[in-house]
Amino acid sequence: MKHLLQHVGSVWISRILVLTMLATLGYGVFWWRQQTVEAAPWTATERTLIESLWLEQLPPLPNDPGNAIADNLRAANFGQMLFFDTRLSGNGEVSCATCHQPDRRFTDGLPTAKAIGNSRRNTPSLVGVAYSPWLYWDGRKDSLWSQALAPLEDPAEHGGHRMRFAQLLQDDQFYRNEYHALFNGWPEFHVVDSISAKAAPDDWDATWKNLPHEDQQLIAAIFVNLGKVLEAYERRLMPSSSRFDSYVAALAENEPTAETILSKDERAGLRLFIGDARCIQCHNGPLFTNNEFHNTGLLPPSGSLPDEGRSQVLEALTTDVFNCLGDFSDATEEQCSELIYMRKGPELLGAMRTPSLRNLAGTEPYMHKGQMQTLSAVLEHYNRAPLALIGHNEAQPLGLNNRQLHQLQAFLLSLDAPIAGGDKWLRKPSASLTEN
Amino acid sequence: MKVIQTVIFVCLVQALFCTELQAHGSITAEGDLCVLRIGFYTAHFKVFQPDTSQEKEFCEDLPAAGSSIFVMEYLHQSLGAVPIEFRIIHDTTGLGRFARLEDIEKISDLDAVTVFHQPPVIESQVFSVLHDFAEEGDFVGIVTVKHPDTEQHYSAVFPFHVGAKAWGYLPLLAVIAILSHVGYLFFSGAFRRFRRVQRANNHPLHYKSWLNKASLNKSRLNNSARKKSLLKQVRFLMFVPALLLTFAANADSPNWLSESGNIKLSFSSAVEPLPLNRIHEWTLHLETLSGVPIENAKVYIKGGMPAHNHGLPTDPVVTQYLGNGNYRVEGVRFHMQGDWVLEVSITDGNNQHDTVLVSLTL
Repeated sequence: MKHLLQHVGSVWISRILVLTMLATLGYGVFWWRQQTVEAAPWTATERTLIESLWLEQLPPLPNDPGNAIADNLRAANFGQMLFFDTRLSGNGEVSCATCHQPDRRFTDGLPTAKAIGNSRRNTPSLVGVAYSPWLYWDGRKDSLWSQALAPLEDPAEHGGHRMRFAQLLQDDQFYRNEYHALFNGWPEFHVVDSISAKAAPDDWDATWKNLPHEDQQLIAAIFVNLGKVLEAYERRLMPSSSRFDSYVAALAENEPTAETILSKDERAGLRLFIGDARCIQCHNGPLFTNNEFHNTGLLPPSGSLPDEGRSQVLEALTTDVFNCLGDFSDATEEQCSELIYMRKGPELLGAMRTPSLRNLAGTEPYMHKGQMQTLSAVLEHYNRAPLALIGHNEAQPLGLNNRQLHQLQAFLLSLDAPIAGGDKWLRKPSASLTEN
Repeated sequence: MKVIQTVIFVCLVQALFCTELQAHGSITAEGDLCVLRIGFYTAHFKVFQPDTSQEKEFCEDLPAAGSSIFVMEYLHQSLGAVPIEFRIIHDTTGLGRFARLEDIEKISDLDAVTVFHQPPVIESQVFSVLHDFAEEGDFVGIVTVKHPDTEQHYSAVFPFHVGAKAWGYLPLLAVIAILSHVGYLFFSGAFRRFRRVQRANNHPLHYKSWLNKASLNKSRLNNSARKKSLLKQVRFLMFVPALLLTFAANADSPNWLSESGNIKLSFSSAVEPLPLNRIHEWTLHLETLSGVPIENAKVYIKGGMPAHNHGLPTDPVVTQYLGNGNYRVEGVRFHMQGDWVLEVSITDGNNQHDTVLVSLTL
């Protein structure tokens, strides 16, 4: 028996050794080929797809017909001051920049936003957001100006009231001048003292309800203009050219140096992005987003229900007084096609807006609830494409291996670039400007 | 003989692990779905425990206590318009799986045994509630829905167990499985052969049994691969006619024929080439094969990407008849590159109905 075991042992050990050596050698050869052999050159179709992602191809920013001062530079400068002004809040401590932090590409590094209270969702970046017909993860607003108004009165965010904002614009000499210049005059108004900072929100509501309708409309109009000024600023926040864009530029010129701009892994990731990984289906165009709504089967954070997303807001969008068709919009009915012809239906259950991929570095956690701490977790999720808790996951499993996921991640990070226009739009304007 | 053995084995394994297929109370398994019946209403019912089982879907029995999400997706759309009440109680009936609505109605103080209660609420899209089970045990879920017009209420009852599953018939089945294997080996003479071989050449059984295992694994693999490829084939076969239609229609002119073959459709877009992510207008032109314009028809458009199982990002509408068989379409937008199919349904002045499938590649 002992002899038998020894015999068997020696035969099998030597067999296993030989197999291991062969396997190692085989993997070595495979790895060496991977490192040295150049991938096939881009096909014509691939080149077309790659160029469709080039920042150079970004069409001019579409007008916002709802906002007559959307592209006014003076309004943009005024909006920048308001964006950083903490007086636009119930407690005097919250500004837009509290959550939309310029040094984090206008995100806050938290799973879900925190201002006066806790918000429901992850703070999205504002870079390039002016191209989107819909705002918020669920697209419950159809213009930037209308979006800007919502957090200002949300008790969990700025926790303010339109009466107080109107009062601030009336009291601050600089703001009042700017408003006067942009909107042809300041509509002098008088409201009782109870809207002062010391009064509680309940008092504001009581005061508001007792105002005559004309006064309410007057104050609402000032409030709306505040949103339009903020939009004028936010429309200036655009991405600048990334390493990927330099690569496409070199590729378009057939420059031989193109290959040195992106690493081999990054180029392999690009090939996957436009090919087998199917990312380009939704993350298309120069901003890497179609700004549309898709259910991709994300799990809700621990202890919370699945988010119904787009399907939950369709009703509210059509009745929103601050929408494109409302009295406060400068647009004609024909200019509100997106709202009029907006899609409804069950496939929007659990659907969220596709985010741009040009701001991934340093903007974790990702996804609408900040469920994913790292980019690799996100890629792992799309590779598996699990069943959705509610609705239907549009994505399909990809079956990529770890190396491919790593290449995709390398490519995605090559899209990173500072915000266009240098520092100008990224800091709180100096006090001297306020006194002008 | 090997085949029979394998079949028996597979059947036993299936019997052991496919307890989800058994129906309890008002929940039945239909294909891959668990369907909850509440009177004449039906809903796709599923439970998740994301903290421990991620997106794994449970029909009713849950593997552990803890945070659980109960979801009802309406198969009967009117469920979105009526109040739905959801209650989970401790199973005090002692009937376990066999508890019925009548048994629940006998419980005098329902609130005393209730662990979770969602008062009636209207949820237009999907009904979902979250309950954190503090302990394992037997529970009964009760869903109550009001009739849309009358005061009639319908209830569905489903008993379920939270926590590691009881062994049930598992040990018995395992014993049968082992016995059948041993019996097979004994009667087929495998033992005798093994002993003979061992005596004859000292060659161990490792090698042979290893081979056997390998071939068994292979056949299992083949089975699942075959299933997958069959599925692929079915999908492909469904896709082929659509593809052929596309090619036939696209042969050399941008015209599309209606299903009856009597109407020719062409269109021009206000933005050429067809843009991505931009809302724009079209002009549709409809005429008969002989070129007579189709006047004042009612035209409706819907569409989507068959490969991705979703629709257009907008609901385009024919807003105006422009004369000469031309129709103005507003609100067209595409949000993905790839193959799109638009379904244009046309009802002409004589109430003749026809449909044109327009295939486009962006």
